[in-house]
Amino acid sequence: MTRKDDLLEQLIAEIEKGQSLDSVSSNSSSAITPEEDERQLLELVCAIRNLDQPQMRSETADLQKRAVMNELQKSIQPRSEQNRVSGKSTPVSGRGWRWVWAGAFAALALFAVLVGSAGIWLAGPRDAHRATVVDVTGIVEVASSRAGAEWVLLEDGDVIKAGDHVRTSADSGAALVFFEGSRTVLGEEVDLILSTLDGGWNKSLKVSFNQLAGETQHSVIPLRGQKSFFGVVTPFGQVNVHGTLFGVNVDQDKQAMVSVDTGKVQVVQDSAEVYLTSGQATTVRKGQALEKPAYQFSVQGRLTSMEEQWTVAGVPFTVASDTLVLQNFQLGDPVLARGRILEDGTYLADRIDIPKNKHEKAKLTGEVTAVGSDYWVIGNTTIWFGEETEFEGAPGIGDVVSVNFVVMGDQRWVAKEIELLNEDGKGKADDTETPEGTDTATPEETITLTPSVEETETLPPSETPDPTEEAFEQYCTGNTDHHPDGVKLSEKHHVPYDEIMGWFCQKNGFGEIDLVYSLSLETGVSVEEIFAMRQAGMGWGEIKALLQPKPTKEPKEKPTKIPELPAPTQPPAPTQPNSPAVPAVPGGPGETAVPAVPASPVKPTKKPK
Amino acid sequence: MPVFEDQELVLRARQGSGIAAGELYERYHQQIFRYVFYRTGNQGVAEDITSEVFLKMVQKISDFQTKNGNFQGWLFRIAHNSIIDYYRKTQVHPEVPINEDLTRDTESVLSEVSKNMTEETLLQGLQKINEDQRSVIILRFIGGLPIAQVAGTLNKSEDAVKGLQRRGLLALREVLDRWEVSYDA
Repeated sequence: MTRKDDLLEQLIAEIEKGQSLDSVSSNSSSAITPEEDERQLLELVCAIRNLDQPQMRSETADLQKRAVMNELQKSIQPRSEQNRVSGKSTPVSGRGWRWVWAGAFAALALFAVLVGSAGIWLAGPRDAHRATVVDVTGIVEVASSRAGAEWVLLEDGDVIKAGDHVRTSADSGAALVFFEGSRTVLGEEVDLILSTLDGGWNKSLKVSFNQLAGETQHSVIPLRGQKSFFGVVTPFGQVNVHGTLFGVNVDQDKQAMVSVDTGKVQVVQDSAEVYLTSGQATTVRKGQALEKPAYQFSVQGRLTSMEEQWTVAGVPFTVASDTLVLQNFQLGDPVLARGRILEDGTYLADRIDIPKNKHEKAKLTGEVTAVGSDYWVIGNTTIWFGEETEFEGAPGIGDVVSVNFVVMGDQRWVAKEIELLNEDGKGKADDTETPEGTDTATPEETITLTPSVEETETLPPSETPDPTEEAFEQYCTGNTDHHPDGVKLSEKHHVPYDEIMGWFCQKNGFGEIDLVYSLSLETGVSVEEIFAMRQAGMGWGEIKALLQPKPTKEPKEKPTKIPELPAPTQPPAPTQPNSPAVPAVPGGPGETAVPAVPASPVKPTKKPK
Repeated sequence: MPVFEDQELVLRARQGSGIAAGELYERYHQQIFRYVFYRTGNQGVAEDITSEVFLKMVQKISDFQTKNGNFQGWLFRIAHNSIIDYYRKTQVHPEVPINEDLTRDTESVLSEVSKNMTEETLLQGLQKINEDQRSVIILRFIGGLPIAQVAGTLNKSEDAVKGLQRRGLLALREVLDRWEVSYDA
């Protein structure tokens, strides 16, 4: 090193401390005043430092960051059971050939044609035996059911069949489309076996997955025929559906959640079972009984409190000892918490993980129990709305909705978007049949189910034909087959099957029919009159409010009175979960009346479907 | 979010915190990317090597000495070694410009480059100087590392780095002057 090298470094250090080039150059009192040569080099240093520097593309950076986080998880908790083969490989498909004697061939060919024709009919359409893989991103692989089969990369347009084992890597995914239009979306790090795949000419479908890991979302077209089924099996239990949107997420060796967006699913665990309807979820944990269905919440954002309760995006929730916390979180960390809203209003987290993005968001589902001029009560939670709130559908009292909301500075929960989940009255919580016996479940295996609230939003509705139209075509055009839901309602309400189907064929959904018969029984108003109100354009909320002025089905903190008065500025505030800053209830805590109840509140912004 | 020191994030990452690993990535990925970009002259290659650097970071994080080590310098050392590996694998000598444009002679470059210094002219000018000098200038003025960390990254003495710094700047100035590129402050 020369003295000049040292001098230059000292001058550069001055600039790095924030001194300007001029001040460094003109500092005559300094012992390190630069000569002309140094000054030029300092100018060059400043020019380099002031350049607009290249940036890594943000989408690349996001992917890399997630890969880094995933890599850490893998290095901490190696997936011992995975026997992944990276890279593209080709399955062995060698096939020998044999001599066939001509005479025998002719006879066999004739026989094959005859048997084949019958077989093809019995076997159903060719497409029914395979699912098409679409929307492939990242690494998605399949291994056939053959012993020793290798993993092969899947691409858009490939097909898989019963027995195939499919897996996706981190940041990867795909969708499986079945021949009649039902669709299953595979998230990242899914591991599943398509154990059954079959169907018939009448578009009946038989699908079962054995899901070992990861998150899947299913959009199932209403199944046709008594023998149709669509199920997701895990060693913990099984999810059976008949036309719905639902999600399953398996966290290996830990816990299970199933969530339903719309429709109804049955969750079976050994001899126990529960039914989930629109907006509901349940959790299955190793060695524990099936949880009762409950409405859901999900919050994403920075963790701002870790006291008795955790708080994210302004929403406090309870973290229990059996809550699955997938990271060692600290205050300020971004988290995604999903859980259930218990009957007492507790927001109980079931799963807390790292979010996929930094957006702050909060969402809940629940039944509308009261409506005011600028608020709704959903379950036990008061949700306010304003001009920015968007509505999908026309929910009323008794309907199940999904709400995206934000928590304001004054602690009010303000809806950004409210979506009706049980359109046609289907999938209401009241319809839930939850058999006894859930306490007896003792799962021996370690794989679980978990729901996702968000992912189902991505399923394109255009992929799913209108089920009602299909059902009308099948059951209202002289077909002698009995619709299973029609049979059920006939038995439930002790009326002829044809009477139920008469209403159905007038374009009323089975959920609506069920609701009308139940309302009729409850209020004494005839079925015909209630349907007439509906046909006159009244919403279910209005009809219920008219026929049930004093709802009593939920005796706890729900409002019990709906007077015909103008809305006050301060509505009642049923239990806001852990949120003391909700505006005070006029008249004190004993006041239960819900004032000002236009059954169909003002809907400032209608979101086009 | 509270600002954690590198050391604390490293400790948390060792305990399995993906968030901490993600925070380290957020903190340093652009610096590493720029360093690799100016060393390789290719955006895609720079992104790939940056990814490799942080995956190695995760795999080797238990090796990092949190008490005495400087995490940033350690990360740049991984990046430096990854670049050497890249050149070894691709059989491309780092002193041979890998960008097609950079293979042209000085005269043709002169006719095209901007007369004011830009990211592109700097990139081209850096390709014309000695590799060690280039590494020092990039680490020092684009990576923002102090002399001591540059020395640690390149496994050289601080005095040697100071010498490389001065000679590198002189060489770069000569190239830019020859191209009549202005870099006045």
